[in-house]
Amino acid sequence: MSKCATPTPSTSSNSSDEAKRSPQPMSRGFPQRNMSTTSSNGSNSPRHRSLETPIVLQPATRFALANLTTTVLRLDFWDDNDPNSIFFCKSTFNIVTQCLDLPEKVIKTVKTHLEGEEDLTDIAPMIMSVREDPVYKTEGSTPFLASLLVAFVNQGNYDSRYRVFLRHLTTLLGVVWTEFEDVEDSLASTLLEEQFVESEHSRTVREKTARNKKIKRYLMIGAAGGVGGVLIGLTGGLAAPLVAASAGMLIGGGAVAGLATTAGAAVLGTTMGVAGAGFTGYKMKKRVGAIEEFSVETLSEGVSLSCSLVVSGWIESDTSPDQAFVHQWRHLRHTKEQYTLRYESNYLMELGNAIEYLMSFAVSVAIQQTLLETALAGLVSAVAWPVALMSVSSVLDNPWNVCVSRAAEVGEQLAEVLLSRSHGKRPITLIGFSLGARVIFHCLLTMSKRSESVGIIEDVILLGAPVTASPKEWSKVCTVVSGRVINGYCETDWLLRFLYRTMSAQFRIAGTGPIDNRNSKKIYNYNLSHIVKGHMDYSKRLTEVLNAVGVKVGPHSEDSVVDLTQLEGPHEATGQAEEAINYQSTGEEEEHPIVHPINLENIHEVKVLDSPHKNEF
Amino acid sequence: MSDDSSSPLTTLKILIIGESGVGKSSLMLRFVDDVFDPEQAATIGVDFRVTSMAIDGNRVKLAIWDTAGQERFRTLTPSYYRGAQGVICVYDVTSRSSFEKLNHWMQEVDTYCTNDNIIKMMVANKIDMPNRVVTREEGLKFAKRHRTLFIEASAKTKEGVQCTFEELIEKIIQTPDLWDNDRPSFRLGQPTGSSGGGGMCGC
Repeated sequence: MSKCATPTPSTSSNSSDEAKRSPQPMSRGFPQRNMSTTSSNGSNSPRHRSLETPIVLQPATRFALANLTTTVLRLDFWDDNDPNSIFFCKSTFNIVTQCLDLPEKVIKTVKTHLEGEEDLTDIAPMIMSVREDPVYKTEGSTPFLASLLVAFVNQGNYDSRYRVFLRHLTTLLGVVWTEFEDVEDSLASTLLEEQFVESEHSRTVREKTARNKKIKRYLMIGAAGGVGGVLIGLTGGLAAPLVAASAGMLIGGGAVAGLATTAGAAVLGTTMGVAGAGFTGYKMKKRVGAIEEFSVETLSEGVSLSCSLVVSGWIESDTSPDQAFVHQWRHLRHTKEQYTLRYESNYLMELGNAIEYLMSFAVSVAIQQTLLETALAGLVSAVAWPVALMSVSSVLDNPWNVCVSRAAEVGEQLAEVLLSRSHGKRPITLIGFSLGARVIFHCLLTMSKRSESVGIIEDVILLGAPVTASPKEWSKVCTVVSGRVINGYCETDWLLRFLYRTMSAQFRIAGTGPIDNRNSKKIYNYNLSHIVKGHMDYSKRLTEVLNAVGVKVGPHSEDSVVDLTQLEGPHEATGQAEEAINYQSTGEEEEHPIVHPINLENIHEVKVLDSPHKNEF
Repeated sequence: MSDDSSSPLTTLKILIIGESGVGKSSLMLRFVDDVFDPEQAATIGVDFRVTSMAIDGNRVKLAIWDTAGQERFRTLTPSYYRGAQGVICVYDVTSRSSFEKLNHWMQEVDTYCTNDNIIKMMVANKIDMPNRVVTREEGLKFAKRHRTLFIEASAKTKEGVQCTFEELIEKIIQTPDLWDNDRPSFRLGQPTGSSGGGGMCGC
């Protein structure tokens, strides 16, 4: 790489010397670039010309970016007790500084901050300095981030920590995350298309479909290691990025017409999970425990540099078998590429039925309300459970216990799948509710016992998780997660409390309260009590719940809106639990096996009776 | 040089500031490595070197921060002023404008330095050059007015370089308030002091 040839490239010089010095590195660096462009692209001279006038970042900007990187790495990733994190910080630092093409001397200075020998500098002046750069003024800071992204992906392993790092950087630089995701998506499709020499036709189609044409340009901003003193060069034209064959720098740089190389294809294959069987094609070679069903299904088709996997807690009774693990997540738009885990559908179906039975038929709305309020007051203990509930508990207890033990095994299996990297060497986010959260939790626990499991998982979102709330276990989970571990809980989730009624009082469940996160920056608690009134709502109102914890969701479909308004019923129904009990106690005895519409009617009556102040119907 | 085994009395943070091209980096490199590069490239951001020296039988560790003088780094460099105990303000005797900008640099120091009684030193560099335009008297007068130390030096011929640092360090050592963090008066008065942590990354 050029580094060796130019140990101290004087990319900058003071104002008086600028004229006589700056040509020096350029003359050293540019022929290389010209060579690569002409050799790979003899015919497309107009595009090629635009490459010769790259816009170079100011040295001050590069210095500031290096400092910002250091600050983020030091504050968010560095852990003195974890050699792995130190290694990661140092290698990331190297990638970034190489990408920024800073002189050795400067790198050394900045490194003192990273290694903690010197205090970190203020980030505000750094950000201000970046904002003063002419490139920022015309293009915003997306180009910087895009070039870093290219440099990271060049490693052949888009580590989830890179993505978290970039996320922090986008925040600091004031870039909207979705804009960065667009860049990622464009890079992903570019990578895929560039595997083959792109035809003129497909190129025009791709350019037309690009949501933001500017983004296409950023991707060409190569981390141009082989281009001497030029690091970030904007090409100006809409040239297709090049998968160049130079050792460290595979993509970007000389951004001309497509050139497929084996090296480029390898990056592509590993990052996108194209090599090997792929995620959905994963076949269980050896089953862990007694799992009967385990497969990954596509939730949304698409290509992206990051993907997500969702895990359901149960299957709702009215969904068809092929929709079983898709239906609840139909509004999820977390990434372009989403998968859902199909596991043990027979048992989960049974569980879904049991929960539904318990919630809508066996236990009256009134009792539920009481439970809700007592649970809220924290009064629920093993003795206080209503007889009505205890009498039907066996309906639920059995499938629940079966599923709980199976969930742990499925989690172990999932860990194997993720460790095999069949989803590609790119970040994956795991989202699950109820037992699905338990699957994920156990998956992470299993992974935390392995050394190679860092840098795979980006974020984890657990909703109403029937797992321990012990900070010790959660900190184990955090070691394998690069970004956030979100615990969405509902304080009034009496069903969870009920299911764990036999456990000692000391045993706290994550799904019913916040996790102690004083010692972990990664754990975020979200109180979902205002959305989730009962455990069932994790499924019924999943879209709202996901939205509340900050996951991108699409708008409700018409059917869903109707479903949700029906769902409003039981919750809006009761103003005063006491009155409701009085009313419902008769209703319950008379029409115990109520069918759904009748039940709804009842609720309407309740509403008319006791809550005249709420008239939203 | 920097990894001297005898434990140092204290670590001092020395800042070198001044206009672009006056020879800040050359001054530091002459002092630390005893080398001179006539084609010294402009500093990017800041350069940092650690060295140690003996003053009155005491060994002190020096962290020397050589800042970039170029205009475009002006927003960046002040963040390095924090906690400095001594500042070396360099001007070029062959450049009238670099001397006239000294007022600005003094202001920078007063604005961004956290130590009120920071020791300031004025260094007139490049005295080996024939085309001198700023006289010694002018420099002395300025230094007197701003109550700073003053010395004439040449990084190229080595003249005055060692002296610059020695005098500055001596003066700092004579002002224990600056460096003796254990003195309670200092700690109570300025709890953040020189040990103030970096800005938190708010995301």
